[in-house]
Amino acid sequence: MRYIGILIFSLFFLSLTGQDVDTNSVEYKKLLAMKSSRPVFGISYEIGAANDKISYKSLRDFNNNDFLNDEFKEGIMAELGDGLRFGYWQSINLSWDKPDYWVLGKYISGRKISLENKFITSALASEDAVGLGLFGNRRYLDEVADISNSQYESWWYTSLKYEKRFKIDSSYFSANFNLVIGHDFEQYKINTGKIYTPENAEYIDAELDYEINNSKDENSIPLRGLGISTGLSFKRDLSSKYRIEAEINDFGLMYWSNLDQVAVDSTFRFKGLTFDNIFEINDSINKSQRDQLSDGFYKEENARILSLMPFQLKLQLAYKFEHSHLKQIYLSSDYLYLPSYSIRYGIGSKWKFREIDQLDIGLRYGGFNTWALPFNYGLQIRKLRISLGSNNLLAFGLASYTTGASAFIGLHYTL
Amino acid sequence: MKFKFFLLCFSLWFISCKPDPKTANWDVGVLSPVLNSRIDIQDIIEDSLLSTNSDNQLSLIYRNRIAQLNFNRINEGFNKSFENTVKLQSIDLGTRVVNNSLSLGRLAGSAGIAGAIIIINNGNTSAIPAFTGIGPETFDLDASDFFESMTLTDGWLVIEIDNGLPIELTNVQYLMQNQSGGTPIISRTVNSILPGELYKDSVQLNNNITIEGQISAILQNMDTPGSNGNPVLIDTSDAIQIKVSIKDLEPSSATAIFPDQVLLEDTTDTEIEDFNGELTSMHVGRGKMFLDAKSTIEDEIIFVYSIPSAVENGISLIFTEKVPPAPVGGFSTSYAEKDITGYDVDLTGQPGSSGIFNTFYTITDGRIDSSGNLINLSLTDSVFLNTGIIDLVAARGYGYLGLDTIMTTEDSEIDLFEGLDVEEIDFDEVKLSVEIYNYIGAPINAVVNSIQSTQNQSNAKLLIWNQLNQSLTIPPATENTPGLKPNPGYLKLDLNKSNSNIDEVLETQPDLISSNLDAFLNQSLTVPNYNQFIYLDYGIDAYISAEIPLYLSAKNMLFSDTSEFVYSNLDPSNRLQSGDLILNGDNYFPFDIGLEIILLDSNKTAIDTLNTTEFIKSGNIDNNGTVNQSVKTSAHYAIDPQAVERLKMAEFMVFRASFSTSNLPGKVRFYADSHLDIILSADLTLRTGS
Repeated sequence: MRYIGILIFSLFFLSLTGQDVDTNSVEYKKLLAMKSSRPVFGISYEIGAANDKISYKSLRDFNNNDFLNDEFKEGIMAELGDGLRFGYWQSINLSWDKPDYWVLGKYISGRKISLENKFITSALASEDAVGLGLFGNRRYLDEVADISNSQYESWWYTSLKYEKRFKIDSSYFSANFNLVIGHDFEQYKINTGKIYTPENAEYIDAELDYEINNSKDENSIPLRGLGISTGLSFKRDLSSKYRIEAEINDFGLMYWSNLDQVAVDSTFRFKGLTFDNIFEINDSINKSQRDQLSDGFYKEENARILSLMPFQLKLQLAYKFEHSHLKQIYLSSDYLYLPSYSIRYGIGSKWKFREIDQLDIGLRYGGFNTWALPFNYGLQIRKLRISLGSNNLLAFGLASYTTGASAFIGLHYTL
Repeated sequence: MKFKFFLLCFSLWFISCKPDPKTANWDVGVLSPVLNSRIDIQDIIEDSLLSTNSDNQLSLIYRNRIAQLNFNRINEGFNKSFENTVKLQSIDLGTRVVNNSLSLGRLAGSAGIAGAIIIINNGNTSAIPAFTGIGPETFDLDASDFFESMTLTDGWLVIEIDNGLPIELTNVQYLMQNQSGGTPIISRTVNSILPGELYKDSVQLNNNITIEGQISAILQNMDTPGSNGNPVLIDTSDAIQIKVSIKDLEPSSATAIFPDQVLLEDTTDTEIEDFNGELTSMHVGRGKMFLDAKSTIEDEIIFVYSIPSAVENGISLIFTEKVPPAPVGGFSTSYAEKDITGYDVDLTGQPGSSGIFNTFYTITDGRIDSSGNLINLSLTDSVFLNTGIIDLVAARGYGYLGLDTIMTTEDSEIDLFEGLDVEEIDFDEVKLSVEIYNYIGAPINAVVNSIQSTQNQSNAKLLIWNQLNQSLTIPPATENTPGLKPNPGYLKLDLNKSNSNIDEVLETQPDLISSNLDAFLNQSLTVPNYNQFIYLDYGIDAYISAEIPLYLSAKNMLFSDTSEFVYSNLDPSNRLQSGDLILNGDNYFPFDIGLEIILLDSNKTAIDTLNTTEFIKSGNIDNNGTVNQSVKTSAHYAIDPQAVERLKMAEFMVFRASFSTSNLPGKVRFYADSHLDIILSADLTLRTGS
């Protein structure tokens, strides 16, 4: 992994120095001044949640209601099937962009600086894990609750990104380098988890193999990790009709410090805290018995780990149209390096009805979601471009039948 | 600058607000064992109260002191003081002597022509002519090295005139007076003092006559017939020797240099009073000697205070205290103490005495070691001396201890049944004994008049016993090594069902036993025995010892235990909504167990009780009253939402366990391996969120 990182960074820096622009000509400089693109300042925000089983309506209720009754929870369980993939994300982005442009047939590369704060959660839970979460182990009296192969990851970080675009032959590239500050990290990996509770709960039998890493919530300003990442995109017209695009983002490593780390690989029967003398509970319940409870468990405080960031891969093949409102249809796939994210496949189309607007709408399958109808609409009003979008337009009309949605808004102003 | 500040603030906001998606709360049902424990008989009854026989069957063993008696022999602190006042009359000023001389040459010098003839013939043999009117001659008698002045109530001034001249002295007229003048101390006319004759005269110095250190002796007139024409050897150095002595002085006041002298020599017997016995010696457990002096004498006074018969490590007790000189017109004081702990004191009086007991003697000496300084004294000067003993207590005493009687009622708390509240209890067998230990080296006769038990100051039960009101003789203790605890005389009396109702007494679960008894010291002796001893710390101890085999029946035997309770420790996020506590028991004990949990607020007022009709059932019991198989049962304690609210208010919990032996009224046996395995589980409804 380290070598891949070094390779990408090397490519990135090579790209920054590899542009051949003739800066000797005074005329050329004057032309540059006249024709140069104007920088664009932008701000955008996105929030979304999706899963593969539970309806968007239930998700909304989960979010909006104060209390979930048993009927609601049973409804969720009925939707679950054999498990659940879930994701939640939220991001805000500030950017300053100097677009690339052409002057007298000469490509002038653009660059971009952006600051992005991103929170993303991913959960992969077995049916019993969801059942335990919603109902507790009372639901599993005298039977084994299997929460094996459940995972949860939560990332919150801010990245400062510098991006440079360039062209080699007829291929367009962009490369970025990110300095990342980690704010919070939670990771639960339950490889094996089987829990049995008998009637009257005289004991709990557990077979557990799991690992937990959690940031400590100690500082009011959460600076708990430091990382670097990079991204690279590639765009090339294969012919006058076809275009291929590939992209990798946020590929890097984050160094988390000051973590609580618990690693358990144990089969045991828990019979409560053991007291030699029941009449002396008060004297010993606070520490020694808790220590006793954690016997056989491994816990490390102030642990440090190096984690591969949740990077994103995208691939798109487009067919271009001319002389119609439909400008493009494309096939796409993308992947997000998170436990509950599966490869998402899609087909889409881009429309342009007027010079000032653009619509991107398609169909997707995979990711956190199942089926989804994403759309993205952009409208240019003088120097301001407004973007509105969602990863699933269906959710707003058919909330009971789809399993997640997001909302996106962006404002970009040309200075 | 404003933009940078804005950027900084924005950046901090940007990274400080963690996205926190709002979610609904819901209830989860959590079942978990909370704690487990094995309760064996040692958890219920202290180990020290249990014994096991060869069959592993348990007995309750209990031993407790019910009485501790001490005769008032040596336990009272003894105090005694002695006062002495030393007056000036007893001070010895000594004898003071002043010498002077009058030579023939000096006489000749005032004798005109006759005197010239004498001087001319010095060394020759010649007749000395008669001459008259010699004088007046004045001599200074200087005694100021001894005293400056003194006013005397008595004393003598002695004058001696030794005629060392070869001629007779006639019509000798002399007087002596203080140089400052005044009435002559002495004035005399002597008709004749022959050659070589020693003339003596004296005058009594009384009536407060004042003598000064500078006295003038005046030879007013002296005549001589010469050598009556007979030639004599003329030596002008021949002289009349005059010696003046002052002695046997009893001053009313004086300014003098006092010689070394003893002011006080006092030997005093000190009897330890109010002791109805005859001690021959004692070892001091604590106590002090003291000396308190107040002096107007302007010289240092040394006091030595001793008790020769008090010895430690072979050295007699003595201590010395110096009283500093009093300032002029004032007084000085001195106070000193000496710890006499650890001394062995003979109490048979002064050496050579006989038939003396309880008595030691002290010697007080006071003296002045002359300082060589002139000091002023008067008859009113004195030294007030207070010496004595403070809070003398013997750690042990030896000798005949005398007769004494104790009539007492001793209350003794019994914690055998502490914390136990039982409706009915029936022991199969009870063995109890009363043990009396006599640590006094003298025989004791004891009479137990009555023994009564009470519970919570009521439910009195009188012991019926065939040894009550009997005179019981407890032999004397023996002393192996002085200072170590003596070997006690011992008397043991057994109580059982056949000679008493002790089982009924114990079945009332008494917490107090009151014993009324009399004890008599030396009652059985016809003649005193002086080999007796008594220790301050050891008297007579009485114990009861009980052995109660745990073969019994009991109904509603209650044990209570109160624990502090902090709800937030249990449920810091207030998630508990309701639920059940489940007490799972696997019982090898031969009794059923019911448990209730009483919630108390901060004032220890009951605010709720968690209880159930279910109970932990006894193990299976065979015909012998022995558990042959354990029994598993569970008891559920419901915690409804109202109970949760009261739990939050509770600050104490009382766990009240009720035990009833099964097979009532049949008795059951407890064995060392009897136990109860419990698992306390919780079936709780918890609400997510905070």
